Amino acid sequence: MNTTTELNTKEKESFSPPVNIYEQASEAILVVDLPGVDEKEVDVSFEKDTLIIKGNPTYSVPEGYKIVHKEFLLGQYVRKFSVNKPIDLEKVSAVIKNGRLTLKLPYTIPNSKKIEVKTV
Amino acid sequence: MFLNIYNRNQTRNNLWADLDKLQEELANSFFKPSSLFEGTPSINLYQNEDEVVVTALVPGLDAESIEMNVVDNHFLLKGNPKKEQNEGYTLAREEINTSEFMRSFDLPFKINSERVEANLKNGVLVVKLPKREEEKAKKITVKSE
Repeated sequence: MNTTTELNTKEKESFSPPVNIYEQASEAILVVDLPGVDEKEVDVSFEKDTLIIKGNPTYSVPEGYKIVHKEFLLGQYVRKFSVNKPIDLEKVSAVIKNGRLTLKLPYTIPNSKKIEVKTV
Repeated sequence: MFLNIYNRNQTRNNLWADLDKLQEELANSFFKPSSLFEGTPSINLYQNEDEVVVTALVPGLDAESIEMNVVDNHFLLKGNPKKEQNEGYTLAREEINTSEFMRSFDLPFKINSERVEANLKNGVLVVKLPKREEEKAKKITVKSE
């Protein structure tokens, strides 16, 4: 069963970055491609059960040149996921390197305590 | 070919229109040689009088995983992304392409390979491909006697 469900992003003129999701029993890892984005321009937040990833590329078009061939545009990246497992927000980690964001989302471990049985 | 005299003006106009169209096509055909196919990574190309700038989106790649080759007017870009090592995890969603890539194209001029500059920042590669000196337009000064 997947931990995350994608939500529609209604914001206009934003780009939906590609995401890989890895899961195991205790955590999920999200890898998001955000070319042109550095650590200051990436924003990861939780609103209730919704994970919101935003990024603003700081790449600028070379000045004094005429564009002769275009395959990509850069603008704000937005991606939202609904997370259906409780996440330990204190332990979430986010690292961005070479325009690729890696998010580690550890699940909250339900309180478990072994009860010692004594003999009287 | 016999021109109908009554249509002469019209024919003339059509000729000019055709020439204009041809000129426009020539101007736009700069990078339309069959050598440029769309692919991975996405690239944009810019030019000025002296050089062409290639920008490519290569998120997740470090400088060591990128290789470039320049021979005469030919440019080649290769990438070998490292696979994400997440052992013990189940891949629940896969949208990122991590296969090796290669793109190449020919420019309408010979590249000065000594002066090629490549810069990688936050997953965006910017490569400057300058023309060789002999390919640059030279301004000729007219002297009066």
